Amino acid sequence: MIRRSKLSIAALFALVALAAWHATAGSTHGDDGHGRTFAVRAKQIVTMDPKLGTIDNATMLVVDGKIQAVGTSIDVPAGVTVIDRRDAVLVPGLVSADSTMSRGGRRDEAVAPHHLAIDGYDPFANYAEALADGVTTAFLGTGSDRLVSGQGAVVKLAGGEVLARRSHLVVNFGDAALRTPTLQEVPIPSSSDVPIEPAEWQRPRSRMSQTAELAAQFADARAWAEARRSDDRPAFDARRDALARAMQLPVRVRAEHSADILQALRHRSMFETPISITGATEAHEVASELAASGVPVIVEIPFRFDRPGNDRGLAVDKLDETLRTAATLERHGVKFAISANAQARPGDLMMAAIAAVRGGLSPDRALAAVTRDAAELIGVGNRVGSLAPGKDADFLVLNGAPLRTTSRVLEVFVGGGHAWSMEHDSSTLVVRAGTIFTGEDTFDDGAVLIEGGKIRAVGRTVPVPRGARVIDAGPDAFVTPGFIDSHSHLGFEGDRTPTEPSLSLELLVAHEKRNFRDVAAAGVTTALVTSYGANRGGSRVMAMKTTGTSRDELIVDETAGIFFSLRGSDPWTATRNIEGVLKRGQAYIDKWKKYDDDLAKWKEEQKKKESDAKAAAKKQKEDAKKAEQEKKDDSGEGEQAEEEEEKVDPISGTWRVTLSGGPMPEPTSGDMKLKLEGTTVTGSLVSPIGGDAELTGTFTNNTLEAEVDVETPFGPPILTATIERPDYMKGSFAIGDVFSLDLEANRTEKSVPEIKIKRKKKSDDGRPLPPPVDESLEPVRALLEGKIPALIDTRTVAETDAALKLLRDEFKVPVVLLNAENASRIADRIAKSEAGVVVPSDILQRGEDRALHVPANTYARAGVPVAFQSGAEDAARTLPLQVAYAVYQGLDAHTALEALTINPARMFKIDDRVGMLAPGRDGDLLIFSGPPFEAASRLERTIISGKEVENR
Amino acid sequence: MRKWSSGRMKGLVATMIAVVLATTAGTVAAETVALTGGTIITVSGEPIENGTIVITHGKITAIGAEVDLPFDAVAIDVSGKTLFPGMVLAHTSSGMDVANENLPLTPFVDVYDSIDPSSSFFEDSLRGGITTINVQQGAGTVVGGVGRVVRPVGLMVEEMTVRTDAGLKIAITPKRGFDSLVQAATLREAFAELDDYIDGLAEKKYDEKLEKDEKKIDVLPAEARKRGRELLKASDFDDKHLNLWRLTKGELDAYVYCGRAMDVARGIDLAKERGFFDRITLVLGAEAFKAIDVIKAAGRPVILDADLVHTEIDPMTGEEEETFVPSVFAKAGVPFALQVNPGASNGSGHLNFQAARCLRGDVDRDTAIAAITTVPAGILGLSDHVGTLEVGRHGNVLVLSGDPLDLTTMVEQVYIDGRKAYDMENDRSLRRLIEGKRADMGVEDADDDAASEGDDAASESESDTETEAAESGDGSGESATAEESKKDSSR
Repeated sequence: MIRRSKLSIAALFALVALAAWHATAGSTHGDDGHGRTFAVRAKQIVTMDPKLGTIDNATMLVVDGKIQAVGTSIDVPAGVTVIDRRDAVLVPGLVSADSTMSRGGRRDEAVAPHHLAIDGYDPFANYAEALADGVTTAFLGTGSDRLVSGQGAVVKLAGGEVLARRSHLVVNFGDAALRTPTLQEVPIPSSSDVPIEPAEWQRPRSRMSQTAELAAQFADARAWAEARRSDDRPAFDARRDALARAMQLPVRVRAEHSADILQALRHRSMFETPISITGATEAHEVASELAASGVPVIVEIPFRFDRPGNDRGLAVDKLDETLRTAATLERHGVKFAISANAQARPGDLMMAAIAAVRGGLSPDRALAAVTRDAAELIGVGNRVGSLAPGKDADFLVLNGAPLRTTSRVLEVFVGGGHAWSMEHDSSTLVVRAGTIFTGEDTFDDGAVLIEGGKIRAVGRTVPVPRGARVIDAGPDAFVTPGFIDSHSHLGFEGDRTPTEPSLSLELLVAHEKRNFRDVAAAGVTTALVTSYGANRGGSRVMAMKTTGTSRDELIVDETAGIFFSLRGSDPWTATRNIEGVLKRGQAYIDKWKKYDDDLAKWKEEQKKKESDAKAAAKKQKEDAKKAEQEKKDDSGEGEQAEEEEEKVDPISGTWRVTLSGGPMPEPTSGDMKLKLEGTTVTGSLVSPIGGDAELTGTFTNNTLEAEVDVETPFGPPILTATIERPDYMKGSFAIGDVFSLDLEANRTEKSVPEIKIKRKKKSDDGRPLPPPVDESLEPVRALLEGKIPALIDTRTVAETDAALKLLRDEFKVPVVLLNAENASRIADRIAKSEAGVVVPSDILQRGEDRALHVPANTYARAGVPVAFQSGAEDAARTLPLQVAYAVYQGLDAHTALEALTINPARMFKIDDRVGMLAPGRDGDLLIFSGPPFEAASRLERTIISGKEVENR
Repeated sequence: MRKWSSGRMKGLVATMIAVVLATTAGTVAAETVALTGGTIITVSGEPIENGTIVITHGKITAIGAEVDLPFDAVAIDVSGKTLFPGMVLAHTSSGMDVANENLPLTPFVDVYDSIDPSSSFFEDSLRGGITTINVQQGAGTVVGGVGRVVRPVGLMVEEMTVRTDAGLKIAITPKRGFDSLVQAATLREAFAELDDYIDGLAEKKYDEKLEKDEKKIDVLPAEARKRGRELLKASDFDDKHLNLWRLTKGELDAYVYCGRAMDVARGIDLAKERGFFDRITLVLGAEAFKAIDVIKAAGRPVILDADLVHTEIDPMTGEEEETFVPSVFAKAGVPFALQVNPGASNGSGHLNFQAARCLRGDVDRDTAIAAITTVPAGILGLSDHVGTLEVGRHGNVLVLSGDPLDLTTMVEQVYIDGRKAYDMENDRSLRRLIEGKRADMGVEDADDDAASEGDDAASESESDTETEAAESGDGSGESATAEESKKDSSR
């Protein structure tokens, strides 16, 4: 498998290089055929060969630009590159049986057989527009406005190959040809010697004269050529010479109206060679005559698809009739090809065939009419038009069945060379399947569109943008959102280093390792990871993808949950610890709340000040000045009053602090300076541990509560002390929940100290400054705000109950129970408290009653949302199999699917990105060959962010 | 050996070979001139520091670092200057009153009748150091007339002429009012008609021979035509068919204009089919570089368009892609000659500017220099006469202020056949451009056209020369060149 995919990548590079070379050199000259030998595999090859037909899962072998073999069991010689297009349908390159790509010729000559369309063919031109719509071979016409407009040619639109330099003599009947301009040769400069002669009318001017004129011209040329062979040679005449030669070529008569078609049929004996009719929009009116004559027809679909048609007023609406022309001819057994409107874009040929199908033509004939039959009609059927051994390797790589409006040309090969390929966004992908499970519901025959890595649409039908890769997985296929492993250690690789709550796991996980891809290829696209050394008192849970090319793609949520553990501990003590964490979190939130309130207040004040200032500005200038003066005086007094007040405040000043108890062997002392402003206390602590630390806090009810700005692994120390008598306070100095010291302090000086605070509570304009961000409390804050769940590891009923009591009943935060192996007895209690359960990685559990049971089943039955976990690293690759086993043990398959997708996504509140197929979510999906947990079903493909994960 | 000639007409028709004029009355330098002390870029070999070139009777007789000056030599000290061969312009349609006839088929005309010796193009060419110019009919034709190689000095075309009969112009790219189909049909018709004419003529000629030999008709007409063809002489042809016949016999060069890539293969096929492939030079448009493989395979000389950059817009993406054409040819190893854009304001009116641009496009220096010297000389069949500084070559020497591919370099003096044909010191037009005013009248030169007309008419005052001398230093540099070009465009 690996070898093949590598080969195909090499081939792709070779082809891209070839294409680039083509683009610059624009020529096949000097091409040694290197790179034109390869095999291509496709979901389907529509050969258009009557014997080969359409072959599914086929391979085509191309040698030196020619097709050597097509079939399901083709021996690809060693060393031949295999191009893998397993989602694609190959059809022959389209053959445009009529085109105006080589327009030209003097329009004032009614008979101009000496004009060759090939002279207007530019092999170096960029025919990308035609190629993009699949046209690889084209008949070049010479215009339709003259009775004889010249000689056509047949060329390829890439590689510059000319299939026929002079293929047909082009004769035009009907309106356009009848409007032949007058022939006027104006001498420049004209003079009395060289006068401007009256214009000469040219024939034909009417339908009766068009055949007469043609017959006369033919007879004249024949006679002239005959005379030239005699001894008495007439003078050379380029026009007669050309016509005499061109009479040997097959004739194409352009005739749109039925009258002209009939005229051409009646007089066809005038031509020495077989004729074909082009245009022929009214051929349906004379279908039986055409059938009887055996003359083939090239039916023009006379619409431009890119603009509205003409209003016809009271005239008969021929729109439907002309659409039906091809169908009518098919019924009458007329041989025909289809061409697009001469004014349309050259690439609109496929659309013309689609329009004919709308008019009742069978799809097979419609495709033949723009490939095989068209090639035969213009005399190049031995080279192009079908994919059969011996033919040129001109083919299209389509992203769906031909003649479907949602099918697009992805690549074009001409003569085995890569002629064009759509520049496509590799993450634009349409997946079609027989069953689609979105996470919320299931429906049949649907599709998912992924653009730029995100799901854009899900439904019965979705838009198919140009360039989209289409995976048509078939009617049996089952598509689900990517699976979520709800608890894993992927990326930690046995690393048991303790991790603190402040630590983001993003820094620890080693991405893009081989084992990630293995897990992804098994269908697990998202994993909720914790470290092995996770702190039981609240470390982070990260939600990440198992593959991705950027941080945004990889990390779903850096903090998707907070991990606690009650496992194996005394529930009461352990819950107290967690409670402490939560309380600190609450205090942290309160601080932020206060800041928010202060900020709001400040903003209001600012607003008021502004409006006051505006109001003041309205007053007279002098008045304003006066008022300001008064204000100044007032405020001055106020300051003085404050100062007096400060003199009697109980806390400002310098304090001698003594810390004792706790782990300290003996008491230590230090100095503390405090300054009170309102209820806010600022100060500094000449720490007993050494160094100078800032101190901020509040003084209320004779109690000082302050935080010391010192980094410790457990957050900043908190100083709490109460003034028990003047100039004496007693309290504690606590560092987290870890230890607490007794504190005593005596005021040694009452003067308000000069305190230099680096971090000001307020900025210069009085705007309150935010409190410091505490990374270790941030997750707790998110938890308390209900943004993330607590993932709490429990086993027994007692542990589980304690967890629920604390987290659900007391703090009312979202809870996901991890494992809870023996707690299924209280499943109803869990359901009532709206907690989810990540069931143990061991699907079968022996309960306290020693009986085997499937926790997933028990919980699901009780209405508890369940999710699955691997609880390991890359062992997650067997998670889908484990879940299949749970289904085997009686779990409802639908519940199992939910437990791998939408349930965990909702539990961890990451359903805005993963876990369901809905617009805006990540393009993560799995394609199974059948229902995901059926024995015979295989995971065919894993797609993450719109990109397919390579299957080992 | 080559024959002297001063006109075209019947005489040259008889010789049917290129006639190279070694010297022409009026431009001959009778004296022996020795340019001493300069750095000589010989093009054919290594540069010579502090070298001397001796020119006697219009030809270089000695060149090198150690050269004994003949006793009668007029020694001119050019120390500090760079000596470079007079540049060769392989193809231009300037210097004529009108570049094209309005008839599509005019093999019977000759640019001789159209060259205007007083055209400012020649003055500008001389100022720019171009000493050999192939004047060809323009591309607005199907089969055009015969060209002529001239020097940019002389009052009469005869005096200017270096080589007559310098090839026929054939255009594959449609002329105005034509499209590809009509152009090709007209071209085919021209040769088919020629075949028919020759057949008739040959048959007649054979009949005459029979009559002369008093023999009776002995063969079928087809055989008679074949035998008659052997008897045909140039004098049997009328003007309309003569040059085309000479072309098909390989007796005339052809300059095949291929403006687009698609034209190249057609031009080559036509030449092969009609037997003059060995004598074609491809005159290419900018887009023709796409046919580089065809061009390389053909192995015929190439003259590039004056526009060195081809810009193309992708029809699908609308992206603009630029190609620097000379680097495509250099990479493919196809030698090329460069053309100028007469009167262009961006410097492309100067051959050395064009070559200098090639350097920026990663073309190596030797190739760039060859493109304005040896390659065009070879195309014109004048390899033994111009394009390098070697003993025996024409005394066409440029005295430059610096390296020829340095854009600040000025052409200070031009020697053509050993005679000083240009001296910047006396170039009043250039000086006036540098000064930006009409020195002789002391007013601002607001109107260039008026100024240049005034130049022709105004009498020259002596005071001009003094100011000229003051201004002629190297310092004027690039801006002077730019201004010069600006003036060129206004003409």
